[in-house]
Parts: sequence; C-alpha cells; structure tokens
Amino acid sequence: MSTSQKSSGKILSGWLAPHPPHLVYGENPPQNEPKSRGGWEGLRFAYDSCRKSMKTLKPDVIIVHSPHWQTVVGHHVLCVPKLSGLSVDPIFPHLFRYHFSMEVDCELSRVIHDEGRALGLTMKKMENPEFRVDYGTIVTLHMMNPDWDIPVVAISANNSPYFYDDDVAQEEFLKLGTATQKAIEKTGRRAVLAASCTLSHLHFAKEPNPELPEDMSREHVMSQSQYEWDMKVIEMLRRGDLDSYFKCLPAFMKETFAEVKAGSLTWMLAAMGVPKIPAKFHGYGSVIGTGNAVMEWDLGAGGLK
Amino acid sequence: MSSKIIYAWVPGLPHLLKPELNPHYAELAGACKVLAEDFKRQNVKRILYYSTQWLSVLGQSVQMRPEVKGRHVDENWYDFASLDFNFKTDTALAAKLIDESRDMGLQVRAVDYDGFPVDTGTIVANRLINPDNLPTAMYSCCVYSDYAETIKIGSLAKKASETLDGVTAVVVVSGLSGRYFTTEIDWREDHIRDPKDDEWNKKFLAALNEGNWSAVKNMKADYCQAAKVDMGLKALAFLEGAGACVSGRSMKTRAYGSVYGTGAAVMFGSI
Repeated sequence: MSTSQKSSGKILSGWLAPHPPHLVYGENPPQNEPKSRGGWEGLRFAYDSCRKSMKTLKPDVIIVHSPHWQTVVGHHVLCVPKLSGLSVDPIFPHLFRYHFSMEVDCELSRVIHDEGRALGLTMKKMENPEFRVDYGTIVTLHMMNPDWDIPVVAISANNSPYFYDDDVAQEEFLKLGTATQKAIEKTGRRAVLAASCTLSHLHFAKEPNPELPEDMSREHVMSQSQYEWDMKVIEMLRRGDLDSYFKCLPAFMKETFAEVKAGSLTWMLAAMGVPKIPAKFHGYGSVIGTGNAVMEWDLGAGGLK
Repeated sequence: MSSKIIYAWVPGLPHLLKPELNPHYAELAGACKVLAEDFKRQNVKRILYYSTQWLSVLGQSVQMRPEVKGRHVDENWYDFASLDFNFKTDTALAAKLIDESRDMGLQVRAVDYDGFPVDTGTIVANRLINPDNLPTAMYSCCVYSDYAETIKIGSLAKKASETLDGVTAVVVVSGLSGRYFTTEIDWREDHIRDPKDDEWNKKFLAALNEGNWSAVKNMKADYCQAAKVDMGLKALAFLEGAGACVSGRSMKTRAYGSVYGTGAAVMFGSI
C-alpha cells in the first residue's frame, strides 16, 4: 500500500495490552526458550478476544507504544523492514528468551516520524538492522497476534516523565498520538493500536517462589489500595469517562506508580481522538503484584477517520 | 595467598568510544586508557563491575556465564553504538559473590544465558579499561536496594574478592549529574546542562579527591536531589561497602566532563 491511497486510512481499534513476560512464559509458545507449567491464565485468556479480533479485522498494521524501549531524546520508531533475533529480557532472563521475527511497516514509520516532527516533536528513525527489540513490544505483539502475520510499527517511550516529573512530556504523548493518527490517514492504513502498559505498577521486590515462578498460590495484587485504584480507572474507561480519567491520572501515577506514566495509553487515546465510548473489558490480573487489564476500544465497522 | 583491592569509577556512555566528536569524550576516554595502564602496573588479575545500567528488579543478579559474547546495540544510541563484546567471567569470583549474597539474606540469581543483553555501560568501560581482556565479574544494580543495602552489597563484594589471590579492581560504572539534553544537540557543543549541576559535581569530586568522607556524607542527599545524580549515587555506596571510602583513602579525579548534558568523571582510588 502506498501514500497515494490517501484518506482511506482508519484506526479500527485500540487495545490496552500489557506486556509482562510472564504471559508468554505461561503460554509456552515455540519461540520462547524457557518452559512453564502455565500460570496467569486470567490475563492470558483475556487476550483470546484480541486474537480473534485480529483474524476478523485483518488490519494492515499493529502499532505499539512500549514503555520498555525507553529513549532519552525524543520519540523513536522502528524503521527496518525486517527485524529478527533473540530478545532476552535483562530483568527476567529466566522467563523470556524469545526468538522474534517481525515485518515493520517502514513507510508508515517514516510518515509517523515526519508528522511528529511537523508537530514540533523530536523524532528519530531506528534504522540499525541489528537492533534487539524490547520485550514490552514483543510480548504485547505476541499476545495480540502470535502468528506474526501482520506488519508492525513500534514506538519508543520517551522517559522524561520518569526522569524529570510525572507531567513532563504528557503533552508530547498527545501530539505523538495526533501524529500517528495523521500518518495512518495519509498512508491509507487500516490500523490497530496497542498501548503496552500495566495499570498500577508497584510490585514485589523479590520473586515469590524462585523455584517455580508460575506458582499461582504466591501471586496476588500488591495492595488493596492499588487494586482499588485499578478498578476505579477501569470503571472510568468502561464508562468512556475520559474526562475523569485524565483528571485523576496524576494521582493514579503518583499513588500506584502506574505504568501509564510512560505515555502509551495517552498516546493511544489521543490517536483515537480521545473517544468517549465505553471500552470493552476483557480481563484483569496481577503479575508479581502489578495490575494489568486487557481492554478494547472498538471504533466500529467504519473505523475512526 | 595475598589479595588486594583497588578502586575506580568510570562513565558508561558510548560517546566515549567516539572521542572525535567532542574534547570531553576524548579526555574521558583517554583517562580510561591511563587507568588500564595503572591496572597493568598494579598487576590486576580481575575486574569486578558494578554498573548502574545493569538493572535488576526482583533481587540481585550476578553474571555467571563463563564466556559472554555477542553484539549489543544501544537502545538510544543505536546509530553509532553497535558494540561487540567478549567477556571472560571469573567464575570463582562470581560464585563467591552469589554465596556471600545468600549468606547476607539477599535473593540472588546467577545469570547464564546465551544472548543476555550486557548493558552498554559495562561494555563501554570494559573496552576502554580492559584491553588485555582480564577476567571479569558483574553484579547488578537492584532498583529496590537502597543506599544502605548497596553498601552491604559492596561489603560482600569486598569479602568475596578477598578470598581470591591477587589484585581485584572494583570498578563502578556510573555517571554524576544526570540532567541530559532531551533534544538533539551538536556534539561539539555538549556541556553540563545546568551550571548548578556543574558546581555540584565539582564540589563532590573535590571532596572525593581529598578523601573527605564526612563532607561527602553530608552533601550526598542534597547533591542527589539537586543534580539528579545517576541512580542516587549507588555507585558510591558500592565503593563505600567495598572499602574505598575510608580514612586515608581518596578517589582522585583523572578526567571530568559532560556527556549529553550529564556529568561524567574518571576516578582512581588512591593506593
């Protein structure tokens, strides 16, 4: 598809699609070296509806924004046609050593880059073919589409909110969303978006059972207050009450160290035009204490133009 | 059997491998090379790295793979930082580090995986200060170990090193002020982003040069807060535990400069 197919581009749906490597580990796909006895089924099975949706919608591209590709200077996009290799998670190497292979929609990447620049953002194209794609990107994409038969675009998370302050760069994530939406429209893509992040993000400081990481008898929410925060936010999203969501975002980030701080969800909502429609809830679960929800914004058969 | 420990502090950003870009990078890289010569003169047998770029979250990690090799592409500086690496692990030291960590009640994981992404900082440091490819050990920087616990980790590193014959260089890989530029800059114009950070860095380095450990202790919290110091000075905590910060010792600055707005220094512990 080329940019000549103007104005037919649309966003079909957006997904809150968390990326704990435990989900891939629990599933035991052939790409992942470590093997498990299962675990985290509540979350893993929540992705089933997403997988079905990908088969039905057959989007041209899945665009993911990942908190685990942290960049200090601006926002980066993968821009190598084919990336493959072994991605070993530096934090959980015993759970995630994944042989990945992905086709990148470089034309769309370049237009996102250009549109971002036009809006005043610092943007960069990652063109090194030996780049090791981060586990956040891979886990989200695997859980959404384990067949890897849909091209992808991955966008980095500028880490200014973590380094400077919570509210730094939030405006930039909104602009990045707008740039993404414009690029989709210009390139004529039928796109699905993925915000690869957890909700509450305070977690255990030790592995509960190092001998059996998938020991579900040791998995639980980090705290009742963190759980209540997650439910409050999920409720707002289910109601489509994005005004309340954005209003409480600073407190949510501060009190639960919510990973939405990395900008993934803000980017996605902005790209979708901040749609005040009820998000569909597919499942919630904790992973080493963090709160994770799989949720869908179905923008309808016609998509959002 | 006799054992001895010497200490160094080096920056770990890949810009040091591009000395042609900026005189600061050249000066810092040059000081690292002098450090390598010092190691040779001191007959260093092994290097123990503590890099603030190798993060662990659930407890501690120790590199245990006998040969760690591959090519690492930095996630930020990928356009000039495709870094080949080939570490020979001192497995005896690594095993001791694990034993001592467990004895201290820490949860620790031995890392032994093909394709494990060794952090940019350790690779950059090793390239500059270890031209003879001496055996190495690596201990992770646990996000949830606070300053006090990191001192304990440094002390277990000392204990582990002292069980081995010969000289061990304990090298922390870390930055100083952490206020990097958030937009693209001309490399030639790189400088400490905030003049106040520059003042703080110099004040800190002066105290280290004098071995004025009470002054260091007094300024530590304010320095960290004011200059957004890399990982809350955990590198210093590790050195402190490992025995570098005692009366009569000091950390001498060999070079100081900026890397993308942050503060960077090469320091060598007095012998």
